[in-house]
Amino acid sequence: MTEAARLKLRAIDVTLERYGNQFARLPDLGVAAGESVAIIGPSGCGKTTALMALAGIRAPQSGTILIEDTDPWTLGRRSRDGFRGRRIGLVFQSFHLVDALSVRANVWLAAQCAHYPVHDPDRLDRLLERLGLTSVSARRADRISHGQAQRTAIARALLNRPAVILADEPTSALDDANTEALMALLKECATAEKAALVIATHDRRVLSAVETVVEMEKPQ
Amino acid sequence: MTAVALAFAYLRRRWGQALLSIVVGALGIAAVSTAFIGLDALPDAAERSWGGVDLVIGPKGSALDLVLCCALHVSDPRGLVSERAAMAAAGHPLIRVAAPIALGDNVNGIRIVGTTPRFLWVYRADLNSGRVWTKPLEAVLGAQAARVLGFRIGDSFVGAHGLAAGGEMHSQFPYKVVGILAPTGSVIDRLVLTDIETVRYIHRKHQEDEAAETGVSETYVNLPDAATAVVASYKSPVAALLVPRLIETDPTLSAASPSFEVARVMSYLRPLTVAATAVGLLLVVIAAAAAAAALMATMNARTRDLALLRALGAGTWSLASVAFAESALIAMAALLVGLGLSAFLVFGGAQLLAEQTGLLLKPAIHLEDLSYLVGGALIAAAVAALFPAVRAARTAIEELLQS
Repeated sequence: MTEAARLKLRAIDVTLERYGNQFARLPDLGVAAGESVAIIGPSGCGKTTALMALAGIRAPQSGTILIEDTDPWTLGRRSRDGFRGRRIGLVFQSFHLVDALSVRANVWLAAQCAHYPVHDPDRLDRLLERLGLTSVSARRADRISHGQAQRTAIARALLNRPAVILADEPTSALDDANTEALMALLKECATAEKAALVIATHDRRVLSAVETVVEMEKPQ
Repeated sequence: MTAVALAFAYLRRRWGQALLSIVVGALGIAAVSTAFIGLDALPDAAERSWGGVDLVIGPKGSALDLVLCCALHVSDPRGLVSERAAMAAAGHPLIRVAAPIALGDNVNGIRIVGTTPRFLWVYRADLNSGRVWTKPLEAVLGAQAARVLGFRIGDSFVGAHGLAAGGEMHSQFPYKVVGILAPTGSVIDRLVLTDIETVRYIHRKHQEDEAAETGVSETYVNLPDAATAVVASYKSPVAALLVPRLIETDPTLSAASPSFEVARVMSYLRPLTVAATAVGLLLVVIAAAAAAAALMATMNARTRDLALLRALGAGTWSLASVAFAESALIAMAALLVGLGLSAFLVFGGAQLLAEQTGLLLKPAIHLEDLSYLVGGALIAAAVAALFPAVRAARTAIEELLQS
């Protein structure tokens, strides 16, 4: 396990309800700042369930998750929600932007929901600029392109300078060129923000872009 | 992004639905506030309108008719009295001042009142310009009458028979304006005053002409000192207990108190106020239910957004506050629109009432009533948001991640 790991996993078992409450185990793991890990496996093997455990959303059956030396599962629900908002950046498969809000407001939502003190008022603008969203920042989320929506979701995940970025199937609907571009962007952002990047995917095209690959098997 | 800003963004997104909830809510609030404000202002309007008249002495009959005709000047006379007899009855030491009135003519729908200069004392009215009549066919106009008719001192006009516009013109008897009264806020503002003998003379001539034509002679011919009534003002409130009883002992006279009669009418109208308020409250409940249904529908459609907010670290109260904020925004908008609508109805109605009946309605929104309305609207908003808020607070993030 890496000494300066942002994320440490030890003996994590997650319950898979659809397989009669069988367990799926994640190997012990340490992910340092700027490093990336792909959790791969076929559909239904528990990748998303494992990601939910890491995000402090669904409790693991056993094991320890440490994000910057804090186990979110030792916190109360309210504290865990706040911790997730401040220290974990989530990138969802279908982005989940709030259509009624502008691109800028969608990104800003991350700080507002987590009550994250943004000491640098220019950070949001710099983030939008880095992700090529400045020109559409005032546009409503349902009026931007697929690629812009994807970058908005990434900007939202990065705003609070998370220790860990968790991405669920981020490339499932992308062609090869866009998959490569997205992976490069995620890695670049993780490096720039000194965050650990964990990607749950069944897409083997991402394997070449990450430092570590963790395979999960479908329970028999 | 506060809950209010997010709620506002959601409302803007589905403005049609929000508008519908606001309109229904506004109609309910308008109905309630109009009932509160309008009907509460009615007794005050009547009191302002009858001015200083504490007592009307007229022929035997309905006291309410007497008040409506001779104090509020909104209905027709029911008969005549002898001025001498009525003024004698008004000669009680507790009466401050009394004046006879004779009605029967109008100018463009504005009543011409034949009376004596004491009539001005009853209403505590002052001249704004000119002087009081001293000769037959001289007229003094109330402030509003002068404005509506567009007459100035020195102008001449002809009266028409009857109390409503369109009667037979008394063309051979032109009046001359000699004075205009200062505004008082009472019914005298809408009257044209002249010497009582002038009215009697014109009507006597009219009746004689008609009698000559038809062979039927009427009251004016038979009663030389005919008056519609005598209006009087008390020296002391004690007079209200003694004077009317004394007058009622006269077999030809009746005494009516405007304040008593209007209070009696308002007591009859009270169920109407209650009914209007009940209808208004029902509309508010319907609006709240419609808003709740709309909110629940949108909250269902917004489960993913709410799950997202939780995933981003928002607490359950923050999620619930979005639902409450949305509901409260609708309620506040409905309140503003409803009060605006109510103000339009009440003030428009007041204008119409003044034009049609002369009742000067001065509606006012009292802070206490306003606080009830605001409180009620917020309670309705809270109730409407309750179920959506609970649903929002129970949102499971897993649904979001697994979608």
